[in-house]
Amino acid sequence: MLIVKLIAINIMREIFRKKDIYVFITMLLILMVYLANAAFFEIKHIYRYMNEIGLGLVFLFSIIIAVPNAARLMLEEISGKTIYPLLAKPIKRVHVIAGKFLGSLFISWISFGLFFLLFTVISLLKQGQGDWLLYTQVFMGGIIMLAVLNAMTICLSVFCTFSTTVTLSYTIFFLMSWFGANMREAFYRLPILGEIAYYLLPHFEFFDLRHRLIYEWSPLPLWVMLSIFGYATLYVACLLFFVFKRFQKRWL
Amino acid sequence: MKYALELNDLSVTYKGSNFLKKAIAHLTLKIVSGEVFGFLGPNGAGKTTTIKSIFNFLPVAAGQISIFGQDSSDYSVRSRMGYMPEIANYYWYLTPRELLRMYAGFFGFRKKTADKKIDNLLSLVGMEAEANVLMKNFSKGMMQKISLAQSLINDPDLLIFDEPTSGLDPLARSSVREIIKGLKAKGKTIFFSSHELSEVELVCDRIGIINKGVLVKTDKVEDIFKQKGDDMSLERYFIDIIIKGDLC
Amino acid sequence: MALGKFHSSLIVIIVVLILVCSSAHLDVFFMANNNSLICQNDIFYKMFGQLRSSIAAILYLKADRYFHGGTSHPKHNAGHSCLEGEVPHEHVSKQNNEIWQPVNDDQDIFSRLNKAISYKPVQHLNNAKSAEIMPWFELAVLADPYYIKAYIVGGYWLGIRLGKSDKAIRFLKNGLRYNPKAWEIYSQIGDIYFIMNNDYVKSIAYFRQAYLFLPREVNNIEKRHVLTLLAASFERIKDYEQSIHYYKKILELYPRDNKLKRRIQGVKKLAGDAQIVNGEF
Repeated sequence: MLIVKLIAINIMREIFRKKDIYVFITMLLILMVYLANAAFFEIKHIYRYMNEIGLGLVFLFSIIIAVPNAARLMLEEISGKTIYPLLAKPIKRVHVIAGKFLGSLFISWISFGLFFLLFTVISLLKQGQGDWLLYTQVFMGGIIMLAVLNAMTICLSVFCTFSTTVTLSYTIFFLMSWFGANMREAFYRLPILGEIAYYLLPHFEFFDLRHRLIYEWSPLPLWVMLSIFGYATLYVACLLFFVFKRFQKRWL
Repeated sequence: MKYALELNDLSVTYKGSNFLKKAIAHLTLKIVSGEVFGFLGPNGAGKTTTIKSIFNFLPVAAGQISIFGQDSSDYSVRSRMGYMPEIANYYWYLTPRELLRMYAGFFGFRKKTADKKIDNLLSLVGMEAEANVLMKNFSKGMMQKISLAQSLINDPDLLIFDEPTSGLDPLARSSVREIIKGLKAKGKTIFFSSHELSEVELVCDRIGIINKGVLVKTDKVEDIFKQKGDDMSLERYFIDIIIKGDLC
Repeated sequence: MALGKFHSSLIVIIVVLILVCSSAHLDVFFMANNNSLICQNDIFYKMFGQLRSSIAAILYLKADRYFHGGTSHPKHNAGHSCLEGEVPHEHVSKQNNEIWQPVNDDQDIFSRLNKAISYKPVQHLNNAKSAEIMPWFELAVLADPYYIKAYIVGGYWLGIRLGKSDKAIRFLKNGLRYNPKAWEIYSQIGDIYFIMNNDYVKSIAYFRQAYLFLPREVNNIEKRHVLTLLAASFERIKDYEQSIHYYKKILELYPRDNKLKRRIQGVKKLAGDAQIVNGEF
């Protein structure tokens, strides 16, 4: 566990030294402040548009940080030949995978957390009040979504090049977010393919709970949140298993 | 006799989509504990492949590798090993201290102990001034020194160096030679590959020459000069062996 | 000291954001839908024009979605969306053919989860909350200033449903800058002057313009709306002659409309009474 933690911390150091995250925080802050002060037709007490755009940016920026970061972790380690002194130490390949995944995950979670915190503060200042349970559920949904996204991207990275991994990750993510529920209907001419896509591809739309906050719907019941969490855990475990199997046999 | 490293009938085959190449064929080699062994060969002979297979970076097609009597697939045996790779690439966003601290953590060293070791190692390789500088702007020689330092972090019994003096200036090379001699005096086993035959002459007890994946010759350095006389240089000896091997 | 890469890129981003936020009118970007010959023949402007129209349409649909509390449903049988409907109505469960149902209802765990997460019975926002839809109209016309529908529906909601007639008129007049021959916008401004401001002189001016620009192919319902309020505006300012003139134009479209005929009779009687009052007989 210590080895995994050390590898994860190493990865997190990089993101804070690369400073990408600060650029996104600054952009988000500027845009959120602008949106909060925007007066559409000088109508007061409207804020849903701000929640929608703000949350959209929070999720978008988090995905922009998560996918390329996760995609390059294994690939850069191997192509940069830093894997050799690493694996020459008494650590297993599974430690490397676990450490990479956790490091990438923590980066995503930290950046998402910072963005979400910024959004929440500005949103609540504008609204005056809010349903804490809804905010928590949206946050949890985002956290779980990033876990699946990171796992999927790392899994793709052990099979594909960097650019292919990034492209495929974004494609699958947006495809499933927008059309996941209707995947079978979308493939009405190829029903078998539709069934395969429906059951195999990750349903990112389950984790996107933004609309519930934006439109002020009621919070989700516990069984739904637990189901989402269980689905994500199972999916991540399967993906990491594939990563392990592939990486175990990989020639370095 | 205790062997630090044993390669028994080792074979490694590279498989491509439309080719099959035997990189190492039936290599048998035993390194005695406390010995400094020079592993020589022309480019593409299989030196790095042999080293990679010792660390299980590549799967072996046949044969066995033992380290201090333990199978090399047992990752715990690496706690007694140190490795200096041919290409010294480390994380640009870390300082040498942070890198060494991370590696020390893998061996279970506590922070205080690790820091002491790190200070000594950085002083040994002459990098104490750059201990807290990000490695992104380091030259090749500086990275090589860091590479040497990280291979010694756990005070290993078996050291495997792949071209340890590559990219170093003459002063640094001399300092590396002294380090190797110092390690030898402590009873460490050193297995290294190099193209700098003049240095191999100075530090090695024994050499092995590999050509096209086959170990063609092993001999003690002093025996080579005893047999061939003072006119002989290791370079000439090496070239003769390779040419003879090619003709055969 | 030279600026580092990070600081330079940050400055560039801030400058770009300031430019965007200051809503600088980059007219060249908006020339794509202009009828000028250059734009019609320039593929670059055509492409951008199509993209902007698509973005504006998406933003308009956002307003519709907001109005329905986060769900969307197909158009009503009447053919118009709920936003455009004059008569407020609600979606009740009995009207099953108009209620959006999730596909693959309860077939598997994924469908059930999806339904639990994303489905909610459609309902309209109440008057106070309906203001939430307004930003999307402004953004839609920002994306595409030639999107007339966004102006008229936005103007309707702002002026008539939310009671902010001055802002609505300003919004619609801005639409006229880019669409000087948009009879719909003139008509909508006329509606607001007539219904909210009771300013019949101005409503006449705008309805007249709307009637002037009315294309021949517009359906009779739309023509009737313009003519009716134009005639009613004249009636309000007691110009009965003009009022009857425009009511008769409606009669040409609907010759069997007995209610209209009675209306005209009524106005004639008012005109007659007025003549008596003024001593003209």
